[in-house]
Amino acid sequence: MGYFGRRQARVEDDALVTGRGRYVDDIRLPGMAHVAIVRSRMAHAGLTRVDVARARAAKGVVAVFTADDLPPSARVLPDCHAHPALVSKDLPVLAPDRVRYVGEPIAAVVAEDRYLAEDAAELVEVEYEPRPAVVDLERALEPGATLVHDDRAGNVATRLPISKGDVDAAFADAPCVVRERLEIHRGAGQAMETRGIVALWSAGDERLTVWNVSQVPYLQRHVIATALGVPEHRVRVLNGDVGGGFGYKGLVYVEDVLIAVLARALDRPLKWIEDRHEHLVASYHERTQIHDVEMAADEGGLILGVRGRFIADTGAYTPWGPVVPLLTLVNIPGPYKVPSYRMEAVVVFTTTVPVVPVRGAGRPQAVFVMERLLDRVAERLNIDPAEVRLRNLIQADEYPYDVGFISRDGARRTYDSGDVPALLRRAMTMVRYDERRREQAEQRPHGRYVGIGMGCAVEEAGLGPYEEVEVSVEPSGTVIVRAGAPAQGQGHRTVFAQVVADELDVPIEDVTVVSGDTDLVRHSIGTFASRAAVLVGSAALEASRAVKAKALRIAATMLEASELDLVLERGRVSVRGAPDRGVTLGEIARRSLGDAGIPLKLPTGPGLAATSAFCPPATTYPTGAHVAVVEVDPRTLAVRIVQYAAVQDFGTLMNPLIVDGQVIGGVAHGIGNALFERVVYDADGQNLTGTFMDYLMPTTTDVPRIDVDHLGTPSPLNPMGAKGAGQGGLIPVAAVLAGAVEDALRPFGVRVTRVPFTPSDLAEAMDAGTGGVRAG
Amino acid sequence: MKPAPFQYVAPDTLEEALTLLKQYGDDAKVLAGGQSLVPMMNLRLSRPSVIVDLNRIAGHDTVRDSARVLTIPFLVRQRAFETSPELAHRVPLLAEAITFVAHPAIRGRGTIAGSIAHADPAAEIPAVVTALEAEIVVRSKGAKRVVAAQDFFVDVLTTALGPGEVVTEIRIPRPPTKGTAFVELARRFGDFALVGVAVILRTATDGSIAGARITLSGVAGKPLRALDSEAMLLGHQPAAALFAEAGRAAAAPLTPPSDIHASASYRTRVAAVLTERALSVAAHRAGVEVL
Repeated sequence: MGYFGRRQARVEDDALVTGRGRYVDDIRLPGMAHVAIVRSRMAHAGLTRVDVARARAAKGVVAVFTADDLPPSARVLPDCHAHPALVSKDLPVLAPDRVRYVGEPIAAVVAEDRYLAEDAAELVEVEYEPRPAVVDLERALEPGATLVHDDRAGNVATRLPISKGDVDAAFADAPCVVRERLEIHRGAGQAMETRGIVALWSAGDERLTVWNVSQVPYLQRHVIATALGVPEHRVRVLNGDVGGGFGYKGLVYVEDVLIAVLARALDRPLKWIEDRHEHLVASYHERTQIHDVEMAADEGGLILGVRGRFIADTGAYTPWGPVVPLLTLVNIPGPYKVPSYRMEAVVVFTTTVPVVPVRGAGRPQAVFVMERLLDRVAERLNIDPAEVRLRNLIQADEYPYDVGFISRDGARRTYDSGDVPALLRRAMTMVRYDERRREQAEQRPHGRYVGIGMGCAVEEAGLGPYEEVEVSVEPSGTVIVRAGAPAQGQGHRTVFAQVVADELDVPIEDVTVVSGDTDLVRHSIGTFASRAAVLVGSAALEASRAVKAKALRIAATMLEASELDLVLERGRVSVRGAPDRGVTLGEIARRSLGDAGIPLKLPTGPGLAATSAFCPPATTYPTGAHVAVVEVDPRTLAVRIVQYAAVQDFGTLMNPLIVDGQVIGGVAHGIGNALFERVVYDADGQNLTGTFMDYLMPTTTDVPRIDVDHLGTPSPLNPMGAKGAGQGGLIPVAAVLAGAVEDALRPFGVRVTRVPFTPSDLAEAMDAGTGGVRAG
Repeated sequence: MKPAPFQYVAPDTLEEALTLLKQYGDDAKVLAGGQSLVPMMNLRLSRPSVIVDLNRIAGHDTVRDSARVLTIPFLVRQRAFETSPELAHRVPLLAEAITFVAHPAIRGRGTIAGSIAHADPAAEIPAVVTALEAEIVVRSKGAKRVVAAQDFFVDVLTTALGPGEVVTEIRIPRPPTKGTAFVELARRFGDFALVGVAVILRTATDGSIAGARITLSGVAGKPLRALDSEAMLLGHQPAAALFAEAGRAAAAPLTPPSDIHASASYRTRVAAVLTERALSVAAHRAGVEVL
């Protein structure tokens, strides 16, 4: 039917935009009670007393729980992402005797409604024995620094080294060496739907049903079952319409265990909805890293080597292992040829919210480092920054490209396909690069400061190990696609229906995709790291091909014809040349189910269905090149984005409409990371950005039209040639805008070495004349 | 983010409301648009025990206009000055400033009087009524007084309102219909301004400046008149250099706050730039040539 690759409108949207979506907070169960969580007000302290007596006696209170009230199996979260280089610290479900960040859960209040729960939460008396907060990454490493975990000397969670080639030799003779100290500050994902949980314990069959917003429901099932001490089949995790994921919903939080355990303990359905303030101070964050890096290049700007060290903030715990700094380490070379490379990540505990992947996951930092260094080389050698990049990019005929070290997935990092020079040239054409450079020079004498920035990125996507899909045909003719990976707004119900509708040659309206229920398929990893489209899509393709083969075999029996003479067209199998002799897929499905008491007599067994678990052989590597034109008011330092061009290689596009939306959303998020979004902790570890008045999200007036184009090179690693499109739009943005703003203010000697940066920071850098943006 | 328990009353008349406010004193808070109060209650930063909702009181939601004074009763929504071309024409300074107040949905509920009573130092409307030398009519049970805008604002979220008092009207005497400008700079459009500047310029027949009023928001605990700048403009021909000098003079005495969004020195820098720019816009709108 030709749905694959088409700009198919999303089947999800009609309900969502007319207010008929169903989110966790829409679930109301009879007898449901509500939970409010008492969170630490201090960044670092011993807990000398947690007195819940007054709270327990308060109006409408059902129960109040502290750490001691939890069963031993539910007191700490298991380490779900073990890594050989990291011995993780136990992450308490409720803090028993020590708190390590503002917002850490201490007690849970269950009451008849959320208002009463919050009233009672105020009555929980917590006595703190304050310890010094650990916020500054470099001070955390100094001898004698206060320890976040008493047995972790120097607050070091782990050190992660990587290297290739003889980097010191490369630097020793290099004609051009540039050094930078670069900082990327803490940001967060801000889904429209905050976290939320409804948990229902069914005492009759001793089974827990959970509705939540997780990107990894099967991992949730495992961890919750372990905490409850029941087999996994006694836990069912459901996701309705989830309002955004952005990575930080891709793990198990303490509340996931807590609410489940409380629901069973009280034998009452419970609801906990994270409010926006909680979301800002207690949902996990990402990004903070400080890099001391240098690049060596020859006279022509060809990279000889990159070396350095960075400090990565992991907050108080490591719930996703060291994955964020690890991804930064392996992504710094990016789509460039870097003959020698040595970098060390020092992962540091602080008394702040734990760090986990947020859309981009360590890669925006890597791109920021590489692109800022390339801009320095271009400036030092007086070569156009685009030219420096084009000289260093991996060329199309060099793919598959062996980067030269082992990557995060344990395999030699090998880019599957790509042509980044073509992406960059296309993006330059889109912004009329040469003309813009002329205009820039012409306008400066008139007091108008225009700048152009650019950046190229590569990311690992389509990660294994597998996703499982079942495709089945009902006697009604409806095709059901059951997937384990849940959707948080990506358009799964549309895209996977496109794949299956084509294979079975049925109208897309006849295909229904269902997911978000751990009872549907046996196994799933989840939706994150731009992997669902590649893995679920490929599994759906394979499963629908198997269904088609089965349909032909059953039809052969029904039509008393040879399979070789049969064709499947428009959802109907018929004898080639005799279109009257045919059966619909629905009829085949009906036949495949047999009649009660009569032998089936089919070679295929019952049901017109097939399951596939697609296991990709390796990681795909989408790429992108972005170019931005900005204008900066030299007096107020206000930044206006004049034009933004994003050119991506996501391989074969399954639905360009949805992919464009992913890119635009990613760029918007990146604009936030560059100019607005920052989680700020003061020296005492207090979060100063606990509302949307202080944690600034880019709005429609801050995000210009984004010009998107695609030059896809199909991935050889899956049957669709797709690479994954969830993060690529975001990854280079902060680097691109930093470069553009610096370029605009070049006559003033302003250096942008930190994101996000504010007009106030720029003014300070301008007054300093040289030196980076350091304020605040 | 649920408010602490409170009692809710919705009187039908202003008299009734004033009686309730007298009865409950400091324990009561008045609800008009609720665009600041309700978020503060949800964060439990504000914990009134009684909410007196004024929204059911009839007859106070329409601007009254006479030749000498424009009167804005307490239930006039901010958006009225956007949707009514007549009102926008009558007080262009207020209408222009209101486009910077948050977003349309908020302006549709928020009231002019509410913004004034709330007295956020970065808000637009307090700066504008200060520049307009408006009068704030304040009532309490059995009493009524009129406070000059200049005297009404005391400090951050602090006004001349006493216990049991409520803003019932804003009176703008002979509002200027030309030669006004409001400019501001915020982190994002719709945010509270880092700095805002309201300017009213009056020119003589020879084009010289016959009067100037300049008010800055966001740089102190309350809207600030830039009296030195106003004085230095008097009698001069409008000129870019003069406006730049006036901008510097407006910024010179400032000791604005520093926070995560901008440093004090940045706010001072921007105060000078925006004052200069507002003067230039106002002069153009007054129909005089800027040298």
